[in-house]
Amino acid sequence: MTVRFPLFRAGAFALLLTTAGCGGSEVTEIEDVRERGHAGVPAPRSTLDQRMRGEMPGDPHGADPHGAMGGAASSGVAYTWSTPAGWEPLPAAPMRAAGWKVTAAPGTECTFSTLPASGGGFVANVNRWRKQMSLEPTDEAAVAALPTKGTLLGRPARWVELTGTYVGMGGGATVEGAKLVGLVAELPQATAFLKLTGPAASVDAEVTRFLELAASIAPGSGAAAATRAEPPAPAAPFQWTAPAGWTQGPARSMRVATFVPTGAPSSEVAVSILKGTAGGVRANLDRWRGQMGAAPLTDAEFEALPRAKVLGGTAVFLAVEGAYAGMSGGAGAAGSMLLGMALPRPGDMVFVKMTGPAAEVRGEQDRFRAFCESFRE
Amino acid sequence: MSDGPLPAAPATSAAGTLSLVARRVVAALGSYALAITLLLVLLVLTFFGTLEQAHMSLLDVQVKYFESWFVIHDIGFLSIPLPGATPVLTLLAVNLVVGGVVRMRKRYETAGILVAHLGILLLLAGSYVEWLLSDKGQMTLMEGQSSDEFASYHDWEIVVRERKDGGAATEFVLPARRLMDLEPEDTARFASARLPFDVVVSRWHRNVEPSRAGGADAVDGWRFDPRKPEKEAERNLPGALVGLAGKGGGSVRARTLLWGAHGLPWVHEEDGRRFEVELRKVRWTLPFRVTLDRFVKEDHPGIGMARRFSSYVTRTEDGVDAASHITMNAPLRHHGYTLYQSGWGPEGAAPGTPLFSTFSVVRNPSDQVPKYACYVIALGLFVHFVVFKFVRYIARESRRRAAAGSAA
Repeated sequence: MTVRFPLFRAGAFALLLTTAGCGGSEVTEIEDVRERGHAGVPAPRSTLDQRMRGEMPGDPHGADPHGAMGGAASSGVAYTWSTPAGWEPLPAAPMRAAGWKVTAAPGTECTFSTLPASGGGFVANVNRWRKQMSLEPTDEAAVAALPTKGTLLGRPARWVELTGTYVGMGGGATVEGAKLVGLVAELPQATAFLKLTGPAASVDAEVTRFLELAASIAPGSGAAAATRAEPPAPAAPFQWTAPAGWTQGPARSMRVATFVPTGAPSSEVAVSILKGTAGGVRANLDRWRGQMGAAPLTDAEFEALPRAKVLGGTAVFLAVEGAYAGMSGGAGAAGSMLLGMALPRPGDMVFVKMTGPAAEVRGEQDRFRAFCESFRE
Repeated sequence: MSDGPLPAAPATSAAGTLSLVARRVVAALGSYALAITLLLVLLVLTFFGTLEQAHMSLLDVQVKYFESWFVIHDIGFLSIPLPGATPVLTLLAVNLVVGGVVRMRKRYETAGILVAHLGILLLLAGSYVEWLLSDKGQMTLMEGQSSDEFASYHDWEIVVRERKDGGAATEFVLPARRLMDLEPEDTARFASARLPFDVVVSRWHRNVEPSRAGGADAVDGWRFDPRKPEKEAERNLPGALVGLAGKGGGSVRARTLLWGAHGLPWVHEEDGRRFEVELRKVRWTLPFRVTLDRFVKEDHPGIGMARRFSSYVTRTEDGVDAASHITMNAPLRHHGYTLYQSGWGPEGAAPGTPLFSTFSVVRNPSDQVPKYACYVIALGLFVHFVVFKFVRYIARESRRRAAAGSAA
């Protein structure tokens, strides 16, 4: 039992009582009111379900649950990955950012999720997994001794391997002789979890692909995993001149601006800004190439990309054709083209991306370049 | 402090009796016996508090043993009642003032002791000011990132953010202390003349896990299951039921569950105004912006253990940049705020992995008081032991030897 009664709390309590007495009911006046000039872009409307599941509604960089290159938002941070061969993406579900099932092994499923900070603690999460496997909780020493294996989001990940009777979160089927393998990685202000569950033999057969999936998960264009405490990308801190024939579209979450060229009605141009390095220029260009089914850039290809001085920094331009399977969902749309610009600046990264049918986008290349070079403070 | 005999006073009247009692109380408050008793109690509290850290978070131990007025320490089935550190330290300060300053004999020879006592009082006062007024949190940045906010380690607040044009917003911050003192069965109502609704908070739990549920308790098919507080308090994820109610005691017209792990705020629109309601770690705004330009980590040869790490930052204020290098022993101090290099991550990162740098940020009006208190205490001890005791010993010895030489 503890009785706390510090003097300043006594004062605050007395103040509360006084305030309550004045109003005739127990109402606390909100006195801390802060005016913020730059509070980032407005958050999208979301349902409680979406918030509990960590979904980002309307995220233009968001989930592509059916493509080989996927992406999802969890805790406001977008990720991309390569779905292993023989696996299928699962629809969104509570408490997970993404999920997959092994096509040939019913009941073998993989989930990816992130939580802010330490996610409640490594020990608590290991014990949550142990509970799902009908195992007794373990102690801190045993958890501390868990090995490191592979990487998750580019970070070394702790490896958890459990066998038992899988009961999951409750309400689902019980799997006798089950196995759970999981990876937990510490991010700057979040913790990432990837786990695979199912019959032991199936899980053992998929461990290699599981580790490959883990290694492929990367911060997406909503990236910089450290940014939960940061405000979202700010509203446009610079000006531009839209090319003739480009119409500015309605506001979209996480985007500074969206344009639709009149001559390319099936295409769109998105301008976005992310705090920090957002994973770097090259990683983002490679991610864009991946969305088009192209291989990452070689050193020589990267060096050969056109560059220009924009907003005092060096912008790098990318043009790639292929089957666009990035954000629009569904199978990759053959005959697509992507134009991109990545501009690192102190404190943030500016992205401009145009996608659409190759026949349309090719005709917009000069205007795209002129638009990017029109950026000014 | 003084334990000298009390002057005899004739207790021939009520006033005299009262005076005698008062003198005895004052004498007791300034006595060595009380000082030693209080120091022993502090020793016991520190010992039990240290043991308790095996079961509780450091924060909880601090609150239970060192910010309380009364505490019961359980050892098995045995419950030991003890005063908390708050009354003990308060009495110690009174003891020092009464016995070590007011009642102490003011003589040339006791000047050093008096100064040392004043130094200790300064130390206690500085600690009290720190406990009362300081803000402590952290800021984590990756290279190229900048921020003018730092977040509390443990405390949470609910903010109602009204969006305005051009990316601006007004934030109405519900007082964290009021929220964190709520019990799950409590309901608290918050109001501002500038908001078209009152904010009603109930079912506040310090650490929860959401689960699917039905029934009257559920909100949109979800409920919170309370969890035991984590041993590391910063890992707790609180949750609460938050409703927006008509002003002046009106009924709740919209409600939701807010959880510390939510990545998105709850958006509510009313009369053409857009509000975002969010449960987040308490945030404080710095009067300047910090950009991490470069983070440097040197490892011990052959192993991944960091030998030293530091951050090159740019401090921007009123459009003016100033470069600083924050190392383990050289924090950045500016406008009453101190940024210490406290960490980096992720631990065990492979070469080439982007690293982040974490700063402990402290706003403490009495930041430098301990240093100056130590100077004062050192001065007092120097005066007492060196100037008076040692020098007088030398002088006395010289005289004794001189006298012995004369006699011979």
